[in-house]
Amino acid sequence: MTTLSADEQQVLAERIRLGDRDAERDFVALFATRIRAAVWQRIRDRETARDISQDVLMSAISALRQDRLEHTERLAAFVYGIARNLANNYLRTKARSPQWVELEPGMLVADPRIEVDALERQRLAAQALQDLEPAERQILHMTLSEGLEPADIARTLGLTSEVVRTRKSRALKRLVERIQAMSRSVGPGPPSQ
Amino acid sequence: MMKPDTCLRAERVEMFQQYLSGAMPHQEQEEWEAHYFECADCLDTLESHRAILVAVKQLGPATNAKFVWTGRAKFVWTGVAAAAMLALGVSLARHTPQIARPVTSAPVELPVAAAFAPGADAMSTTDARARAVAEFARFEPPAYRGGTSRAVSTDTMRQFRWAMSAYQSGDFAAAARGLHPLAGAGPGAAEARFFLGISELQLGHTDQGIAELRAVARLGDTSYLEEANYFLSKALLSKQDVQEAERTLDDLVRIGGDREHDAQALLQKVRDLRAR
Repeated sequence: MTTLSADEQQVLAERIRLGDRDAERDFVALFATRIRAAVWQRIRDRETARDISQDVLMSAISALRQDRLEHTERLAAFVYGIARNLANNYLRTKARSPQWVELEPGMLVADPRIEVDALERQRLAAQALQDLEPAERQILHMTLSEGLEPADIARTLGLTSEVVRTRKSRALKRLVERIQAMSRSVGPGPPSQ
Repeated sequence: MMKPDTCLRAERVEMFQQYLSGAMPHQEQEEWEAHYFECADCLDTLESHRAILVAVKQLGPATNAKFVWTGRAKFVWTGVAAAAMLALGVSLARHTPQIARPVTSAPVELPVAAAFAPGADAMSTTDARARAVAEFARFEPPAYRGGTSRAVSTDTMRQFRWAMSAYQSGDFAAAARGLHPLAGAGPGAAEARFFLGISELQLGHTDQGIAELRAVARLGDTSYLEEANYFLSKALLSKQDVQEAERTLDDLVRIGGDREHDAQALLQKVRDLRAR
């Protein structure tokens, strides 16, 4: 299991505090996707989520540079807290308008690899979907795209709810395993600049 | 079977679906998010579920319309479903701006020759001509092969590089957003405006794309003059402005240079079509 350890979090925070720009890049590589996921979950708007994610990264790095984090072993929780707060603030005020976030010298926070990775994963997902049984694809479509409950799908397809649930769950597990296997064989994307 | 070194949460399919659909209770959502901020397995699995969600929605009607449930055990093709798919394909070919297609989309073959065959009526001929012009307007976004803007500040170059990374990955919205502030006067403006124009065209913003490419052409003898005029002619064709496209191509042929043969070939196709 690949969980970020307290030691790893502490070391990363300390490197950033000491002005190590490589550490800032590592920080972005580690947290950008996580931040985007959590912010997107609340905002549901790609462009706004992107802007807020930039702000989260900059706020976190700025705080670390200024040694404002006391418990550095809880770095991930600290970053998550900023992401949650900025996203919630946005939802509360709705006052934010789309804007270009200024980049600080020597720092590139918007890593295009995030977008590339997401697109590549979608391509692999589409490929893996083609290998499913038609019935399983139909069940996934009705569940994920049309938002139907297992009972509704069961009625339409002449199955029991339990069978629908099992087939859906089994298909999703197989797809995830397939995507992850293909992703490992493809390897990581190109290095950022 | 569960992999021995995988986080237990990463095996819970329903949890990921509940989260992505926005149906997870607030407290549980916060605990789960705090968890995946630390757990690479769960983040990886979450992103795979997100990709599946997008892929199912994208493939949905096209993939599943092929199948009609006929009982408890099998799906079969039907003539009605096949006809519906065909009608959808024809409709898309007629109404989707071709240049706005993503880079990775498969080309749609248009039955140009068949439409001009003897016996085709006047309406279908006009329609087919418009479709043929739209087909001529299609293009793959030109590759970016490294900067020519040397005399720009570091911050500007960094922003330009970021935007061009987005361009290279096919994210034309991000590319346009990044290039827009760089499209003013000064060194590098031609390059930024050219790729901004292409990005706008890829996004289906044809008028903005044309405006940017015209601005590049007005800058005069830059290394993007011919490229800008060539893609400008494509954009004009996508708007069915054949006369203006022909004029632009004529100019390009007169200028000579790298795009002369492409321009000549495209001009010939347009004139052949007009002569039919």
